[in-house]
Amino acid sequence: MISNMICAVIVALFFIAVPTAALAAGASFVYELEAIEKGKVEPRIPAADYRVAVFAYEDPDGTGLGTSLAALVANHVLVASEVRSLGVIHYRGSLAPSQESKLSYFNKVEKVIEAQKVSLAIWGIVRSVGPNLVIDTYLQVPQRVTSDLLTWEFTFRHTKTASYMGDTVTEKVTLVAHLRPNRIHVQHLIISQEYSQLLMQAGQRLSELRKERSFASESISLPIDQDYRMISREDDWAEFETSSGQKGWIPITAHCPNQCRLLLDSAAFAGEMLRYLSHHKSSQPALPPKSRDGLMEDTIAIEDQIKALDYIAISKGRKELAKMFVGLEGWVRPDREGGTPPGGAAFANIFAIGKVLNEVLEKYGKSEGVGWLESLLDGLFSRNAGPRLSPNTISNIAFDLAQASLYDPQNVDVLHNLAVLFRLAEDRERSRLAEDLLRQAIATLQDTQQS
Amino acid sequence: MAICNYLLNPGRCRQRIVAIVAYALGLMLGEGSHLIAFADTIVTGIVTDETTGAAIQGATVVLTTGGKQLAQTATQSDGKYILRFEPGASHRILSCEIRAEHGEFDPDSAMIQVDSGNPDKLSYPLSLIPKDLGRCKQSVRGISVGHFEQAQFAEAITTTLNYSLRPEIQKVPSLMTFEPDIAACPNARPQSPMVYSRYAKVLNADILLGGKVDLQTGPKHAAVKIFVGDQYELFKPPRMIENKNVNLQDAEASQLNSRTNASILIAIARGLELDKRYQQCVDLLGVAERIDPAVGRESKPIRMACEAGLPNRALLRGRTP
Repeated sequence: MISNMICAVIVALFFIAVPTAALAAGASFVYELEAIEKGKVEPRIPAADYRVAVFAYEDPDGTGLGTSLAALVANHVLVASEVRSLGVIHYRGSLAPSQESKLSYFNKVEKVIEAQKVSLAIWGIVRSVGPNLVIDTYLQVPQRVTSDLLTWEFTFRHTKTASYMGDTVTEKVTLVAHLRPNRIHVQHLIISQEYSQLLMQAGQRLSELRKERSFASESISLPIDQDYRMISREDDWAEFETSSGQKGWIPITAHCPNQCRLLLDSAAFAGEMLRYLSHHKSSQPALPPKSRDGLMEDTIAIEDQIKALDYIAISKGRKELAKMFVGLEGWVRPDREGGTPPGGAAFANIFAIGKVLNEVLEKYGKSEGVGWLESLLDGLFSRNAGPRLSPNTISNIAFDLAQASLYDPQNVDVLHNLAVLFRLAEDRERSRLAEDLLRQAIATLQDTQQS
Repeated sequence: MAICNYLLNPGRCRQRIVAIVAYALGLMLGEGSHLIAFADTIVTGIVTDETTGAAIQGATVVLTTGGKQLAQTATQSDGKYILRFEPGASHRILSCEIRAEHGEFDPDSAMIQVDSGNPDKLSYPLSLIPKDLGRCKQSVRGISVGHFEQAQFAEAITTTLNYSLRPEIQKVPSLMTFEPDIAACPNARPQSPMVYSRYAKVLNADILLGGKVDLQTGPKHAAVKIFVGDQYELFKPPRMIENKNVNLQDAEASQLNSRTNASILIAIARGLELDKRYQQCVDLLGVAERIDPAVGRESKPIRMACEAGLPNRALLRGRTP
C-alpha cells in the first residue's frame, strides 16, 4: 500500500514537473478563413485542453520582425505559463483590412478563435518609426471563454413583504459580473532600432532544436507545419520532441536578453491569464495575471477586476469586504483622470455588487465574526428567511449604477443588475425599463457576433 | 403691397404685373392676341463650386421637360444665370429639370415646378463638385485622406490611421461592427485649410486630412504638415501637426499625436450624435478619452448631447421611466 502511494506521488510529480504541451507552427491564416467560409475547419492540436492562437505581428513597414515577435511570445507562453496540456497555434497571414474584406484585427481574429475554440489569442503590430521600433501587443479572450470561465455570480436570499397577504416572501437573487474588456491592449513597447537584429536572432533561435543546452551546440531546424511537444525543462531550457521523433532543446529566456526581454512581459501576462483560466473553477484558484511596469492600463484593469471579484467571493465578513472597495475607488471616481475606464462600467458594476453584499452581511450577519460563507449557506439553504434589505439603501445603490450606465449604455451585466436592484427597491417601472434595455442589448450583441 | 400679398409671392407677383401691363398695352394698342398672351417664364439662379463656395463662370445651364429642351444659357462671371422660355398654354403645371455642367466639375441638377408659367421658387442655386471628387464620396462616414504632393504619402497616413484607431475602436463590444471608412482621395485638394470643412461635407466624411510635404534637402529629410479638418467645424481652424526632418519612407512622417487621434474620434462621434446613434456615440467618446484623457473638455458637449438621448437616462433619480 505504501509503495502504491509512492508510485501515485511520483506520477503526480511527473505531471506537475512536466506539463504536457504542444506547438503547431506554420498554420496559414488565409487558409483557415477559407475553411471557415466552407464550414470545413479542422481542429488544431485537439488533444490539448487549452490552446492559444498566436498570429504573426502585422509588419506594414517591412521590418521583417513579424514572425520573430510572434515566435518569441508564443514560445514564452508555452514554456512559462505552467499550464498542463497546452497547445500553441502559430498563424501566418495579415490581419489588416483589404479590398476583398473590411474585416480586420480583433474582428478577424475572432472568427478564427471561435472556429478553433481556442482559449486565448495574441496578435500585434510592429512599426518602424524613426530611430525606434514600436511594438503593440494585444490579447483577446473569446466571448465563449468569458461566459464560461470569467463570469462571477453572487446569489443571496432576500425577504420582502407580500403586501396582498401580509406574509413575507423569500426569493433568490443573483447579481452578475463578467470580466471586461476581453480585448486587451497589453503592451506599447518602444525600443531602439539597434535591437532589431537582436529580436530577429532571438526569433531565429526558437526555430532551432539543439542537441545540448547550449547555443554552441549542434542544431537542426524545426520543420514548419509540424506539431512539437515539450517533454522536459531544465534550467533555462525546454526539451521538445517533433511528431517525427526528433528531440532537442530550445531556450526559455536566454535567447532574449536586454530590450528583447521587455517583450516577454506581455507574453508573461498572457501566460498568467491562461494559468488563471485553467485554475479558475478549482478549489485553489490561481492568482490573477499581474500587470507590470511598461504594460498598458488595460492590464491593470484586468488584474484589479479579477482581484476584486475573487475577493468578494472568498471574503469572510464586512471588514474583509471593505478592503475590496479601496482597490476599486480609483476606477469609479466621477472626476477620474483617465476618462471612461477600460471595461466601461465594469468597475461601477463590481462596486455596486460589493455594496449590496455588504448590506446583506450587515442585515444578516449576527456579528462581525460570522463567516461570509456561513451566512451565504444559511441564506441559501435554511428555511429561515433571508435578510430584509432596505429598499431605500438598495435604491441608492441602483441609482449610482444607473448613472454609470450612461457611459456604458449597453453593458449587459449592468442592465441585468439594475433590473434586479430596482425590483428589490420596489421600483417596478425602472426594473421593467432595465429589463427592456437588457433585451435590446443582448439582441444587438448577438447580431454583432453573427455578423 | 396688398396685390402682391394676394398673389402669394413676389416672384409670381412680378410675373403677373408684367402680364397685366402687357394686357393693358394690348388693349390700348389694339394689337393682336400675341400681346395678350402671358410673358416668358423666367428661371434664375447661381452656380457655385461646392468645395469653396466660389461662383463658376461659363457653366452651361439647360432647362428641359420630358426630354425636350426649353432653354439654355451660360453663367456669368458672378455665377448667375437667367433662363427664359415660353410656358405654352396657361394653367398648365410643368415638371422641369434644370442642369448645370462644366468641364472641370461633375454636373448637378434640380427639379422645378412651373405652374401657369410661374416657377415654384425665386432662385435655383446649383453646386458643382470638382471632377472625380465625387468618386471619393463615402457611403459610410469616416475619414478621407486628401492630396499630398507625394502620392504614396496619403496611403501612408491611411495605414497609420488604420493601425492606431481600428484596434482601439474594436475593443468596445458595441463598436465591433462599427467600421469607419478610412480612404485616400488624391483628388481632394483644398487650396486652403479654411475650406477643409466644406470638402469634408462634399465627401460625406467626418474628417478630412490633407497637407503639404516640403522635401527640403531630399525625401529623407522632409518637413510634413498635416491638416485635420471636420465637416462639423469642431476644428476651426483645422488642427495642424508638423513632423520635421523625417524620412518620407518611414512611418514617422505619417504619425499623428494622441490628441489628434482622439479628436478625430470625437468628430466621428459628433456624426453619430447627428445620426441619433447615441449609444455608439457615447462608446466612441470613451475610446477617445482613453487615447487622450485631456480631450474630455472638448468632448463634453457631445457627450452631454448623446447621454441626453440615451434611454438609460430614464433610470436616473428624478426621471420618469
